[in-house]
Amino acid sequence: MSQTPSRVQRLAPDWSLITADWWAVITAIVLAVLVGFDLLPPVGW
Amino acid sequence: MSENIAIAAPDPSPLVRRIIDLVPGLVLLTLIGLGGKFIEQSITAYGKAHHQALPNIEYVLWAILIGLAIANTIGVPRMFRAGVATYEFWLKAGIVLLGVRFLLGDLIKVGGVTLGLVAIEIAGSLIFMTLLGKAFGLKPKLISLLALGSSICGVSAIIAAKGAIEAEDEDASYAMAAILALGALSLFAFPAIGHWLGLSDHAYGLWAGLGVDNTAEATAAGALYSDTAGKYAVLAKTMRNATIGFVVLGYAVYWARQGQAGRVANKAAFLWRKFPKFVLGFLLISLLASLHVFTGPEVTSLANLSRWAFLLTFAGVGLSTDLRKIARQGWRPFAVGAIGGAVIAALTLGLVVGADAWVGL
Repeated sequence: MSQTPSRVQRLAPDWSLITADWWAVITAIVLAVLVGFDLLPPVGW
Repeated sequence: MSENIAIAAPDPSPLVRRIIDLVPGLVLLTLIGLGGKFIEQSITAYGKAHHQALPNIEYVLWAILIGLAIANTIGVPRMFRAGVATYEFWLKAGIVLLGVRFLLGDLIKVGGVTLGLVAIEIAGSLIFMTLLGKAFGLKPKLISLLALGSSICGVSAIIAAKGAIEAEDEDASYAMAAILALGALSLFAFPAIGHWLGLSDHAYGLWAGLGVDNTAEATAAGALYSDTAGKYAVLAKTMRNATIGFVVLGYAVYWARQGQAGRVANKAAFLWRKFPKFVLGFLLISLLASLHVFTGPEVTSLANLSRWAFLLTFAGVGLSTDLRKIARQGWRPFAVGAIGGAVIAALTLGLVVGADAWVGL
């Protein structure tokens, strides 16, 4: 049986390249963009 | 005769499955955090209703105590563990979002003094912990790990250095146990001493950021005092974290020269790999806030999102502290950690009080 990865597998992003630190930064920036463009309701505490 | 045909549901992708695995633990973190807030508000409301001056115990401590109670009695069931382990992710996201509360101008003004204090703290801690470890007869690489953990950023520094200096797993476990035990103690000792000395929010926050080793515990120790103190604790701690690559590189080069670790081929790549990326995110959000990209209510929303992220962090700190596991590591690393921690806490307190008198914090 062929072990060659399919085209979809080859094109799929390698999520392991994004470390936990980067995920935290990306999440925070996405939240900042959502807040900045009023796409999130005001967040209370 | 009818045939029953079972059609297997398609397997969710690994990413979707990983996200689903996180849900129970995230729900647990949220419930504990909200529980902490509820207890704080209930005690305040009870005191007001009955005209009694009850001690104001922050939600931070309640969230940590509930987590500690669960982790050290019934334990954290397996299904919750993946989600609970995300507490460090929330800590970093919270730090990035906290950048909105620092304008770059203020950051440069406050950061100059803080950077000076961080440099003295790191040098003093490295020297003292090395001498203390030698006096207790600990193994040289364990001493390196303890010195790094105490001077920079606790468990993260130990993990970063473990591979770089090729230390044994047992040494890393010892060093982490000492740092974690000390972090748990700091949560109670630092606010009590701060209140006793009547430190300002700014001075106390810097002290917590300089004196507490693990980032989550430093953030919690700051927030236990006040919201402003929490902000300055994160600033000082983030500055300590930013130096991790340089100090770990120094140790890696030292052990390579001793012939007991591999050579560092590309120093620039090493520094980048070890650099905590959330510091860049923190600076970016601070820059955007300084350029007035966000309106007043948006700044409030982002600051509140940061508080929610920290709320999950504090619940995770309690749930991830296994006191029995720490006790199993024996008394020596704990003794070195406790003595070192007490001396470093006194040194950093002296630094902060001196800076307060000299430049006014």
